[in-house]
Amino acid sequence: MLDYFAIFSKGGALLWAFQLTALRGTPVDALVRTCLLEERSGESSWTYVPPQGAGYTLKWTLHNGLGLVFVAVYQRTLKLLYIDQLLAGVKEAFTVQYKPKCFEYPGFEKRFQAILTNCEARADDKQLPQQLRPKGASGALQKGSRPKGAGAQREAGDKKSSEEDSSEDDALTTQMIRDPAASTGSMTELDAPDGSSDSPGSGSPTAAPGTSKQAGFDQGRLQKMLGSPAPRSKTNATRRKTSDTGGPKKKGAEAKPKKKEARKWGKGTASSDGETLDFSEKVEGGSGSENEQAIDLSMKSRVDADEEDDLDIIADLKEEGSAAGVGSGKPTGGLLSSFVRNISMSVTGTAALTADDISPALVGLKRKLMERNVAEDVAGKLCFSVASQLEGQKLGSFTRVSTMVAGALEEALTRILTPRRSIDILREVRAAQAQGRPYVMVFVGVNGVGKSTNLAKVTYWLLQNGLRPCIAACDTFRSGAVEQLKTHCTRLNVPLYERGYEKDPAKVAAEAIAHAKRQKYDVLLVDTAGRMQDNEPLMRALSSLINLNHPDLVLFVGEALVGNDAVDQLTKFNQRLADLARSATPHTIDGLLVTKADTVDDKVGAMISMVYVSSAPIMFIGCGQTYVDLKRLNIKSVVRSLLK
Amino acid sequence: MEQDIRASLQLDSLPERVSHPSTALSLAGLVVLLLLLTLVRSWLKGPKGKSVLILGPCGSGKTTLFLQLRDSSIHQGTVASMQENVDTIPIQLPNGSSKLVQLVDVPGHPRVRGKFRTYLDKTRGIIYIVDAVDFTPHKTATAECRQLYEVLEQGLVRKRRMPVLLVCNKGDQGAKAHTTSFIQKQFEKEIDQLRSTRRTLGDSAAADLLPKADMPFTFEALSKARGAQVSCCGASAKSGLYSFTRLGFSNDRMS
Repeated sequence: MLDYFAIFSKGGALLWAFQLTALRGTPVDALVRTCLLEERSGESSWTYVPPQGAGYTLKWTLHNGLGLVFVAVYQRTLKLLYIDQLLAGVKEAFTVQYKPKCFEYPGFEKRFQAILTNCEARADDKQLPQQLRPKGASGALQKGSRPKGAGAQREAGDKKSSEEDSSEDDALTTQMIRDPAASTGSMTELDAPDGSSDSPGSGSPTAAPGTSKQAGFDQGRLQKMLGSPAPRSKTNATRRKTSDTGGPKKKGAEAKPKKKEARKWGKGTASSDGETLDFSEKVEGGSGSENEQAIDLSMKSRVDADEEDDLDIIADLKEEGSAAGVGSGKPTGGLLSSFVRNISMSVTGTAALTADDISPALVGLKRKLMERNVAEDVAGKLCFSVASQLEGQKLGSFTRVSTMVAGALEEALTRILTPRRSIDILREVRAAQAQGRPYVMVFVGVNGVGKSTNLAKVTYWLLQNGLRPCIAACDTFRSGAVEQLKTHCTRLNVPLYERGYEKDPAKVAAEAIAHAKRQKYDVLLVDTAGRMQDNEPLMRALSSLINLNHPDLVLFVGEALVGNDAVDQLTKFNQRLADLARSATPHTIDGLLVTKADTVDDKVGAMISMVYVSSAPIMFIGCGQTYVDLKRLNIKSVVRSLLK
Repeated sequence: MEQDIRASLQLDSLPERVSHPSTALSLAGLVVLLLLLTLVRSWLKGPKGKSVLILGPCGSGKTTLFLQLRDSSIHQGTVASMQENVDTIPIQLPNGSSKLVQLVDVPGHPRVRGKFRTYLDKTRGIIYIVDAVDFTPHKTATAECRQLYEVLEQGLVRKRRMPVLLVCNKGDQGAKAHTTSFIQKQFEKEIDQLRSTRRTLGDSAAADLLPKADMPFTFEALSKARGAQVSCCGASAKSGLYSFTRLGFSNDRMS
């Protein structure tokens, strides 16, 4: 049974509501905040779990021309099949009655009831013959929801019912406006595990089989591919080849001589040739007797530097990419009628956009996003979301559809990258200081993404800001991990808390926190072992580390080179952390640190994928090998390079 | 003097004497252009727009206040906004006359609240509204102060000394609501801390929110330091219990 139906303007004023039962919590507010404003409106249903009681499923449709939102709320346990029809019907009926600045629609209740009973009756009609039929043989919408029994009769009934279903579905499609999206959406809803289907990214079962295959990729191959999303077509592959040999190499050629000059390991340590193996030593460090020399903190970390001008990841962008322009996705069919329509639309600018107008431009944009290394799944969802928000909007005069779509996508990308929580770590450290405890940051991630290196960079930055950091070596798994941190600590002159190898990292972290509290350190940075997201024992260990110690910040370190795997990594990390948690409110990933951003040129799409999937903000960007090479995210330039 | 210049010009451009009059002409043109530019600038500067922004965190009652001010009714209630509400309404001034003001209600969701910047150049004043009931100093206050801080550090806000009215909403809930003075003090304290961390970050724009670094931040000090003028008041947008006089007062100062 339907619980609640609301019609409200995008501005937030409720226009009409129909309440059958008292709602627990505020599902509609939550929908707007965590779904519609997070670029997930391309999906067709969303689950809200109130503070107490069972969850709700929400379905919605937008009327962009008038700026209206229609939302239906019902119990999650019910599978109401008529909701899409109901939404479409109510939308149609209400748009006729709608007057701007009118907030009273007393007569609409009757109309709504009529639509509701009509839809319910039709759904019953549809369901009745199905129930008489052998179970489990119904159409795609119901396959998941029915218990799978009656195997023998199933095959026999299959053909017949599918025929019937298809004819019925045809009838339905004329009613339902967003039918393709709707049917896939309800599949995801059925497949989603209970109680967590609102967690970010869980609605991607379609991607799961594909990406899990790629989980076994070795990083070397990914690097070779330079993280470009593997497009299927050959022409794309060849183009990528040329761009790969052209773009990055040129950049490398520019960068290399500089770095070599700066280092001069051989000459600097020539006097003490054999004994020092420390390549990290600085050139001017003449005193070769010290094995690991403390570095000076005079060089300003690039986190604090005034940006605007760069993110040189993207600054020097070659033009090859721009060949795939925004409008290039448009079919050049040259039909006279469409041409006339195009012309008249661009001149008069009054026609409301339809899905057909938008889709060609969106196809081009999606391809471009994927060329910029956005995961395919994410790019698709983003484009769906943009389309659902544009459909029905009026085109301004003398604007092209592609410009409008590009503008909307740009807005959406900016919105995604804009952090929701504070990324002012210093402020949070101060707050922890005031409470007399260390601020605990845990660095997690898959193997070889640069957790330890960037931990050292963050330490350097904290030192520069006059804080007293301490490092805990909780990578008790990989050989040499503790020694690596020791080297960093000696250079940075920062204490290291370590208990050797073969210990439970959770316990080491707990001891380290106690130690840091005793010694009154401001920040404790916990380094963990790199682990693949499918490695069950290690993920379990990580979950217990986080759940036992309640860190202030769980920082996921991911590399900018990652392609479609980014979605899988973050989804699984978040999922495992949530699943294995003992408390009701699991601590998942709070922030992201994107490393190796200097190696991807303009292919910064991995950032979008990661942020979209985890809805955690990017706190830092690692962009080089030295301690100063840590930056903040420059949203504008990332968006610019994505859409260039 | 002039002859000197002419002489030098002649020397310089000996082969092409024809260029004299054209140089003089271009000089005159330049002067006219400069004059025009200054005129245009002053003209642009003159009317500063007539918008009043309603800002604040999610769920503090921005849209409710907007509807109250516009229609004197909250109709069916509100849900979380996705878009700005913009409308022009007449506002009664204390001296009896009325004035048209463009009211802009910007959603409080962190991902869209940054949009207020696009309205700033036409803004006369800002209403910053917070939820006095759901105001826990250690949790929510930080986020809310951060946004107000962001607003106050805007160049335009400081340059024009925009009046900012800090409205502590939901006064209808009686004892559950925190007092205005408490909230004001929390805000001042929090902004003071934000200033210090931003200063260590080397953010040059933030450093001069107050002239002296060691000065404790208060809204009064900010006003004295020729920054934005912040005043506070309690209100209840839901039950219409906001004093128009206070809002009118802030508008009065704007004009």
